[in-house]
Amino acid sequence: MAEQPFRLKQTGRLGTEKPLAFTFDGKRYEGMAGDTLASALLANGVQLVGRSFKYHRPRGIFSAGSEEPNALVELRSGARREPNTRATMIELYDGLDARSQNRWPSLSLDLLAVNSLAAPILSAGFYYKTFMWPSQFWEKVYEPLIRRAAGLGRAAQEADPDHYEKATAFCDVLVIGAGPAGLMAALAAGRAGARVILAEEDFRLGGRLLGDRRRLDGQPSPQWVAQIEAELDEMPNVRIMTRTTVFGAYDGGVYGALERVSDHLPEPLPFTPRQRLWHIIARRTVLAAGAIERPLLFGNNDRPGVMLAGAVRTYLNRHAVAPGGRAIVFATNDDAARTVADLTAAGIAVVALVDPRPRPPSSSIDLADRVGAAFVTGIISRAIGLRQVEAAVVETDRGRTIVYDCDLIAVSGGWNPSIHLSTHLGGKPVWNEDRAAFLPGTPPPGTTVIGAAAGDFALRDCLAEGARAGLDAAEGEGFDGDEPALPEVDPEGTGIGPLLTTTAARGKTFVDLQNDVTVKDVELANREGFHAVEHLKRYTTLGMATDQGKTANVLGLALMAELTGKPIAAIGTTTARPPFTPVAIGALAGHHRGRDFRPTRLTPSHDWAARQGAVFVEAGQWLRAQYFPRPGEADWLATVNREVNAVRTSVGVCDVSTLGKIDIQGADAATFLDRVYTNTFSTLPVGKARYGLMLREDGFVMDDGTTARLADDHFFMTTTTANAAKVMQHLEFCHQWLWPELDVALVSVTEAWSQYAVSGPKSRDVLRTVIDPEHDISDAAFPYMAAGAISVGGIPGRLFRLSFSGELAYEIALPASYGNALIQALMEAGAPFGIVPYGTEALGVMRVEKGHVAGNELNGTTTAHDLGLGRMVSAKKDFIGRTLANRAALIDTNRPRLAGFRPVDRTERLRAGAHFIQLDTEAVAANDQGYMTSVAFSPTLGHWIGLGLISGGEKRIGEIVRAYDPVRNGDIAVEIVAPVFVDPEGVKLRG
Amino acid sequence: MAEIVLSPTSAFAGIPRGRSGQTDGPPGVIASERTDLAMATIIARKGQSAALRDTVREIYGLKLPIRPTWVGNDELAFLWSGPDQWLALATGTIGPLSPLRERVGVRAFASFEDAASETTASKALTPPFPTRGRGSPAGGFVDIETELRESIGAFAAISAQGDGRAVLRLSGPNVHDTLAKGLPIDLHESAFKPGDVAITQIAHIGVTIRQIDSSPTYEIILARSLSLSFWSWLVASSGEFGLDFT
Repeated sequence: MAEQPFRLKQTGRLGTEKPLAFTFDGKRYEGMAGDTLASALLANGVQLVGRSFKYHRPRGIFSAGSEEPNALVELRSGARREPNTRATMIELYDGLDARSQNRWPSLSLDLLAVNSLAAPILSAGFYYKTFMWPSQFWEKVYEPLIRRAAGLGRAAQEADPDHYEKATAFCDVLVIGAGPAGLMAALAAGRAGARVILAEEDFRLGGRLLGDRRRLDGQPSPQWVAQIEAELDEMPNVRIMTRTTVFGAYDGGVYGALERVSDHLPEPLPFTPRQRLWHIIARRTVLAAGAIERPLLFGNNDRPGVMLAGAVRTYLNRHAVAPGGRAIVFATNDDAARTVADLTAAGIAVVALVDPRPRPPSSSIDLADRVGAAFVTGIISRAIGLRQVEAAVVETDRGRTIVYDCDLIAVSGGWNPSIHLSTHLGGKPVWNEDRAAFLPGTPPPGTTVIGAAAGDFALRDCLAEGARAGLDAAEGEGFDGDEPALPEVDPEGTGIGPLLTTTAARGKTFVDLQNDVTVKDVELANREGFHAVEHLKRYTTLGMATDQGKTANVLGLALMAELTGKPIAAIGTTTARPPFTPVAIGALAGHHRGRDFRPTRLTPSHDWAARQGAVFVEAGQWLRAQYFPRPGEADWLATVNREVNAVRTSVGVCDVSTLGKIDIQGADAATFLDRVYTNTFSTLPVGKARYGLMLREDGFVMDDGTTARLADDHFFMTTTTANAAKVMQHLEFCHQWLWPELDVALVSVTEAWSQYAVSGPKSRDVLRTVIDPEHDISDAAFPYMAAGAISVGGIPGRLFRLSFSGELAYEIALPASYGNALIQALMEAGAPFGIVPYGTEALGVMRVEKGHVAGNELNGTTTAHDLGLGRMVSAKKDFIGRTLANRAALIDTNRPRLAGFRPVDRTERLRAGAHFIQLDTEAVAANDQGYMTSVAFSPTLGHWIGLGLISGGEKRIGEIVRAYDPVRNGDIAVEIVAPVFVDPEGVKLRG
Repeated sequence: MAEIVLSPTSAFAGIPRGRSGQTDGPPGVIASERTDLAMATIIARKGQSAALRDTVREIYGLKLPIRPTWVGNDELAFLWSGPDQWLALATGTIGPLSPLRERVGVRAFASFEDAASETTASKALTPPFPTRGRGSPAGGFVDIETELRESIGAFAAISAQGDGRAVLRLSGPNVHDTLAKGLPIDLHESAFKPGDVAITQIAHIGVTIRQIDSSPTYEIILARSLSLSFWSWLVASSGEFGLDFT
């Protein structure tokens, strides 16, 4: 294992000396605890870490934070392989394995770098212009080609083995960012007693206080941070969340945050998620997100070794890593002096300090002098070197050109406040000329933006604003406190020059490193008319992808401002939307993946049915038994035929607990039902049930079901499984909004009852042995459509004589906790009769045989007349949907109406979805006469049967039409018949 | 056929009791199923809200809450569940057509605070599931529907609900951390107290949550059919703290 040649002797502020082994592109290295992958690579002298998106140019590490545009790597392997992770955000762990991406065959020899030679044609808008024609080539030829050449890392092919979570947290004050401003805000609010959440993206608190050598109250800044952190840690009302990025601001004080719980570990600890998505609900928010440094424009400004000056200082001071051996500093602001001083203190030679400002601060000049660096008023025009900076070409303001040998160019074009979260709810950033930055406009309600995020870059100001804002927020929520005393800080220069755009740049000059957008691309966009910022972004891809142009956007805008001769303020800026940094889809899903994607509802007989080998089917959220296969049965159809035959000849039992059940009580309950059903319920005697049909306001059928009258003022309504919630909502709307004057109470009791359909000629015999003997269920005492109280083993329940199958049938209901016992009692009692459990398939077959409509026909486009239920529409009363059901188009007798269908050749199979066309007409939409809604193989009749909607409906009985099914190559002749195939007189159900 | 004796199956009957998640140290969350509750929805009849509240106070000594709170004790409690709507919970330790009024009447509580001190500590939380029906020597169950119809039926519609709801009691040092992974409401003592009720959702499952005591102990009431989905969420969310299902 290699030494760490660029690790500084002073151990810096890593805090521990613990060595950690890792591999990059298969080569083994050693880093230290507290490193990021970026700092560990730099410590090992690895400068080249990736290839760029379009031109495959060699790229290095550019920043030390989440804004990183360049150093994207593939992390981990196998199912945990994750592309495009920022080396600057990856905490080093022992055994870490990462690979460079976007190169072939290797990082140092990347053959696709020939794209660079084709650069003149790969400019902005290249795809739009080149791949326009012929258009059908796009999907099959162009896109796959482009995808292979471009793109970044490879996603894992396997399912993610890790677990993700979502959680909610509440606070009085949310402090976003734990730099000096955020720490003071949290301290002030915490001391006042407010519930505080302090969220920090980094794994350590401190922000720039870790990266810069500052002194607060005479102590080195990390010590001061540790002291504040210790105090915050002690406060029960303060929650510190590190590794947590607040990525979005939403209405009502809701913030989205991503906690990287286990990303710093090889794999999550048992029972621990990889990441946790937080909804933080904050009464007040202090946004102290800091600022992101801006690069500068010069030729080859993307070469490994060109690095943001603040990042250089972070690597030196926080990570004890020398990002180079011989440096040049190019900056438009007073921070340059700090960079020079820190480099020198670390023993790195600084060859020159290049500052374009005509009147640079004398302190900078003095400092350069002191450390033996040349001070140049001018610019860098170009970097020299291919896989690594080797020299910088400097143009002085006096027209001289000097070439300085160096392997590190530290650049600073000023700072962009991290205002992203302040814009998520529509706040418009405002350009401030003095600070050469966009500052927050109107932040979200209850939010204060402070410190560098507000454009106040001086440490003294950050601390003071933090103390003030933290206390203000706490006081705003009714807490009392004092502003914490501010620490004494060492002096600092905060001068900043104007945004630098015009350069004498030579060679490729990058504005957006991640998307390979150059100055020329912006110029091209301008020439071609894409001046508006949003157009500029779409045309050039400036500001897209994983970094969303955090280092690039403002430079691009400044260029466009200059090209169009407008001030930046007039150009404006693109809208920052959530998320601030990428969020894994897994985190957004949380617990809800696989079988937990949504909740599943199980009936009381579920476990029993599973033991019988039932195959289940989803019906809304419910799992229902679809059929109960037995050994030796060839296929599902054999099973279903057996189940149907058993019911038609003896007896079967089916769990119908999933039907919606609504308890309706009150003096006006009958009146209420008369108004929501098309037919009359006020005439229904107590102890009877009736089939009811409900329309929507627009006159189409909404749902059907049976409703029983249990007492004068008490009804029990059932709905279809699918529409249970919708019907309840509809009834509540009618009650609360349309007729609040009615005395009626509605409550769902779907879950309270376990209900079974017991169907078939022997159903009464079975029930007779189950139901307690004092209840008379003879045909005389309990005729068709009777409803009443019964008991089983003393447990009170209800019995309804209803039939969906067309057989003598009942529905028996007991409290849900007895459902498991009841199904077993029914099976035991039915054993002498050969009782079978049957599922939704057999249920469906029998309802098609009987011509009962179900979900396929109650599909929101059918009227009562369409379904042959016109006789249920009362003319004597008003009800919901009545008026609109009488629209001319809805009573047109040529509308597709319900009819039965059977194949002319009885051996043919029918297909639901087949369209009806008259014989000898062309199969085109204009000749469409309707379609098959439901089909079944009828074991009773021995052939396929169907229900469908066809123009004219039952008027055409006897006619033969085509059932045309191009999807499954079906085209057969079918005969239109009455929709009731079995026992049309209904003799059996009255037996 | 022999006389039929039906035994009830509770919503979480299929879940093995004991420890899940991490097993070091004491469990972070303790869960127990309440299988002793009869439940009914009470909805005030049109214009009878005041009369209903007066009658409940007179008969049961309890003030029906008009905001999301609950009143009562382990034997009888009323949970606010909407405007003019309540959920009545009663334990099943008393016989059919019970002398519920007398049982409750001897300890009639005007407010939750009075009730809390007297009941939660003294009463076992999970008595054996009451046997219902004639095969049972104890003979009977709380017929809360009949009881309430008789006592307040003139002023309210009563609908039995008990068997349709699953009830879990949750406590332990990490109960907040766990619930935060699904419950979108604030359980901090400044926002939610013993006696409070919320009708909300956990992991897309509609729940009613009520706080029993300040230890804190909560009761989650949910639709019976969703109990396994809820359990799947609970096990995943409490895993890092350890869950003990007693």
